[in-house]
Amino acid sequence: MVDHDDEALARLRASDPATGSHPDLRTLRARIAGKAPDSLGADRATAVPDEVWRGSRAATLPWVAATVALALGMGSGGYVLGARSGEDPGVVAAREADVGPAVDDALPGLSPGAQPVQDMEGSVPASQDGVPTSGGTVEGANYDPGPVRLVAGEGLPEERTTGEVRTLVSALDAEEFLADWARSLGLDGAGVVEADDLWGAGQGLYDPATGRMLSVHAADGGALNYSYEDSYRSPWCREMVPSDEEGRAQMAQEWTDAMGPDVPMPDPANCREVAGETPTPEQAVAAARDFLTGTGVVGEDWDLVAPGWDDPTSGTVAVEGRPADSSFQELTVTVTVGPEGVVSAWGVTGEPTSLGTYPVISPVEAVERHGRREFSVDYGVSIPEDLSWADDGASTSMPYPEYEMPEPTPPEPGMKIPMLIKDKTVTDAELVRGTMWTQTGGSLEVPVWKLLTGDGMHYTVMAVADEAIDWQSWE
Amino acid sequence: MAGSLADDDGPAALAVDTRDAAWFDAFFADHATAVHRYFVRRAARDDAEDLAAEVFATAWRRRDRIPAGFELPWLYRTASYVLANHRRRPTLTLISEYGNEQERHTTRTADPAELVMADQEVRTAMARLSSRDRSVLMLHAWEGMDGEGLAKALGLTRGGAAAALSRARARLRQAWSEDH
Repeated sequence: MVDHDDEALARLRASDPATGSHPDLRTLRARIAGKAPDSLGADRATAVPDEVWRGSRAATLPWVAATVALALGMGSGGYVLGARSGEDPGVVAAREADVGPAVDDALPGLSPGAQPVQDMEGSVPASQDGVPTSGGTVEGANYDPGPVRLVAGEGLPEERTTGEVRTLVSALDAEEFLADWARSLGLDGAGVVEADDLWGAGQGLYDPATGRMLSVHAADGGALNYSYEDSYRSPWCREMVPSDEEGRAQMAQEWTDAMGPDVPMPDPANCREVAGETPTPEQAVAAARDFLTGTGVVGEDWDLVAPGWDDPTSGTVAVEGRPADSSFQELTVTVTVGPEGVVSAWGVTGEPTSLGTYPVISPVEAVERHGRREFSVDYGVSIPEDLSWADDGASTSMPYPEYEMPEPTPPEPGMKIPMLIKDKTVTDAELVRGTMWTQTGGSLEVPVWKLLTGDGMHYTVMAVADEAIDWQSWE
Repeated sequence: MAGSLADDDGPAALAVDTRDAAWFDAFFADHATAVHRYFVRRAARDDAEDLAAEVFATAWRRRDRIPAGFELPWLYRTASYVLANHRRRPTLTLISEYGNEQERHTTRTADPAELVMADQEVRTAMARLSSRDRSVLMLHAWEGMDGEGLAKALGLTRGGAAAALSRARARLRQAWSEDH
């Protein structure tokens, strides 16, 4: 749930130090292979690049002793066989002993020893030339092993077009929405307390007798956020109050600041023991839909599903929903349903509202724009297909390619500096819709060029033309 | 499919497919960039690759305990332990690099994430919060964690994570309002 009015959080997001960061996946994978050779599979031969073992990088691998390197035949571009077939088990054991226990000890609740390693014979075909293969039966997972530079292919359209930009706007009056919703839930009787800022979630209502809370928050000219909590029936009820004295004191102060000194803070002693069976997914969806009817903003046109990733010990089922065919990622609702009904719910409502028709650059221009940092990195756009799971359970819609990497380049005086990059030709383009975060204007749905390359991958670029962008700066 | 918490003690708590090297390849492809960025945000950039590799090596060893559908939160939680261990390691400092007292006290005890934030106002506000609040906010703002994912990344129940995030956000607003 996005709080567009929360400037501090928005600035924190924008200050992400990893913006533009792209790991060298090849060397990373090689480092992992050095720590866990079994992860490559029993019959796979892998070329471990020399740069992993030499120079400054080797100095940052304290657990790689010289004896290990020698045992593996490294130093001039050696090959590491899968642990089962070729590696000295003593070396492997030593490596794991150096690295494993400190981390294993730090993972509470995990058993001290490793679980039995499953038999991996023949699970991954060995490459014919010693270069890592992708594991041909895996589909969907995909990445570029290095930076990519797009080039417009012949025949790529050069014509501009137009497209609509939309935002979420709620016409609801927050106070009226809250009052109507409370009435539908019976949260409007005597004893219910009003708060201007309930637990940092906006204006709200709290019933001390039942521990139920309602809150709404409306960003100026934007979407409306709403939430409900039945704290005394929540499976996490007893954890609502911090266990440490400082935390409890801070919570008490925050509560008093929000509710006044006369309203008692929720007391874990009032937590209820909820009886009954965990609802089935179908029951949970039905209960969520019934509950949301009272909000007046979630209708029959919303798809509600129980994704199934619940903690089975909680006795609750999470239900998630969004309007059918909506590309607004923030237009969602989440409901948690327990044996006695809805325990919590939160969502965002608003109407996709057109800001008008905007000029859209051509696919050729989009290719050039992809090379500009502010579009490929800082103002990336996300499209629904890249955020959803494909039917086969893969994490992206793109294929998993095989690739051959250049040979390692030993440094020599006067050499040209080797820098990995891949020029890819964009062969086609589709105009789709996606979401971007504008920093100062909140989240917008914008036209997006989905640039397609010959290897089946795609790259997205915000498509609104430069003349329709207000580049703002700060002092 | 339903998964359980990685710290459940019961055997066969997960109904998962065979997690072999092919599975690990896909697992790596899916999450390597996210994990690497986690460390770019919190450690010296030169260390990020090693730390990320450590997380995945641990994931390989513990692969049957990774809850299906919550792989990334599990990785973030593991990454937090790897980072904590990394910060506790003694570092060698060349004698020539010892300067005045102020320079010598630029140590790993400072949260590197604070040092790399270019936004001075955000850095100032975050510095007023507890380490715990900062951790929660960074997981939420930079790693995009909330709800069940945040709970698993923090090792809390969902209600506890929601409460922790709510409080952290409230404190950030408060800290922010001191200068605005």
